[in-house]
Amino acid sequence: MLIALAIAALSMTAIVALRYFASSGFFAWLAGRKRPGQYAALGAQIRREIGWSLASAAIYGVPAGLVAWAWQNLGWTKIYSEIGAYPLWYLPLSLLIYLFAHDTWFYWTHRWMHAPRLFRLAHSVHHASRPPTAWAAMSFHPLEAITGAVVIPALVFVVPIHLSVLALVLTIMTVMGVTNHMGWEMFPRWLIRSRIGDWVITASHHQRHHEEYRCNYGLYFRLWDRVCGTDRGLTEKFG
Amino acid sequence: MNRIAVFGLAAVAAAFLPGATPPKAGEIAVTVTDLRSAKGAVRACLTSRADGFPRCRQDAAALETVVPAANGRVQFIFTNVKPGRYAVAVLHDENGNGKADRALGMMPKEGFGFSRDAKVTTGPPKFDAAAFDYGGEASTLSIRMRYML
Repeated sequence: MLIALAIAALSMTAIVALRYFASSGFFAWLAGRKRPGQYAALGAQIRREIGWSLASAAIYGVPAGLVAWAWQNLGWTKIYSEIGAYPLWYLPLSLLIYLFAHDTWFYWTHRWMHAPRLFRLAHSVHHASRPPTAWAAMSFHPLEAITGAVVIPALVFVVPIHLSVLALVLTIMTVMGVTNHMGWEMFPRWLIRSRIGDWVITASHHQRHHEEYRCNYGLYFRLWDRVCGTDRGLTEKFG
Repeated sequence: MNRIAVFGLAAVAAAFLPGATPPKAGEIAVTVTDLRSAKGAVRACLTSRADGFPRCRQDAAALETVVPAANGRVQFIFTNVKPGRYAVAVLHDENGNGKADRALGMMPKEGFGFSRDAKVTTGPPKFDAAAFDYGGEASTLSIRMRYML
């Protein structure tokens, strides 16, 4: 059984690493096309980002792999595969619960990471990306990666979620994590400046966090930033 | 007393279900339950070979059957079944294209059911999880359909 657990942890680490290269690689290429030359002078920084991200891949992969193994072999977790196990309206509700819970956890641990001691010890690794690139999505100090790695594996024990909704949560997490750092806003201006953009975080919002540090801490939604008065609006660099 | 009366009634109702022909020796009568619609067909196969399960492709001796789908349940009979170790796979082929359609090439869009209610997690169950021993007697089997999407 120990061997099976080790294989599960290792294969999930490999999956997370491949997912990183596929998603960050794709959006780095896209950002490079849209804003030629933007990454040109950042070669050394990007190599460091990839290094930290691969360490994070193991930290994300191990708990996720163990939980996936327990789900498949022991029937643990509240992940369900039969669409009719809960009412259909629960599908979008569960998506919102997961995103909101993840966002809440991220907002408060992220603010905590900005406490001077923790910042020097851990979070400065992530902010060493100036400006961030698509490769910075998982570029965290291992201590910080641990706080990010436990959220979804813990949630699946508490909040029921359909397998397809879980896949959607992971897709949103991956895509937004990469695109919020890529230094280019992929959503049209009218959407960013609409009611949706007032409440949903995209690159224009998170870029400002990397410019000014002590604002715009959120992950998916601007709710906590607005409630706590830490929202300074969108970056002006994107024009 | 009330409970006994209800139970008795249910047993009588089951006996008079249309198509509930009792099996004879060498036959396995299969009742498929929890079908979500009457769309398309219900395809089933019975095989004694682990390789190729659940599609029974490798097994020339596999017994296959197709019946029109119905709301709730359908019944059919595998005949001339020799004693042995078998597993049954059932597909609710709602669009009638002869295969199990998947979303993004991964998650099955059409319902499935296996003998012993063998579970599907990241892939179809192994033969051993669905296999049962058959001694040649008149036999019945109930298979519950499950839908992921």
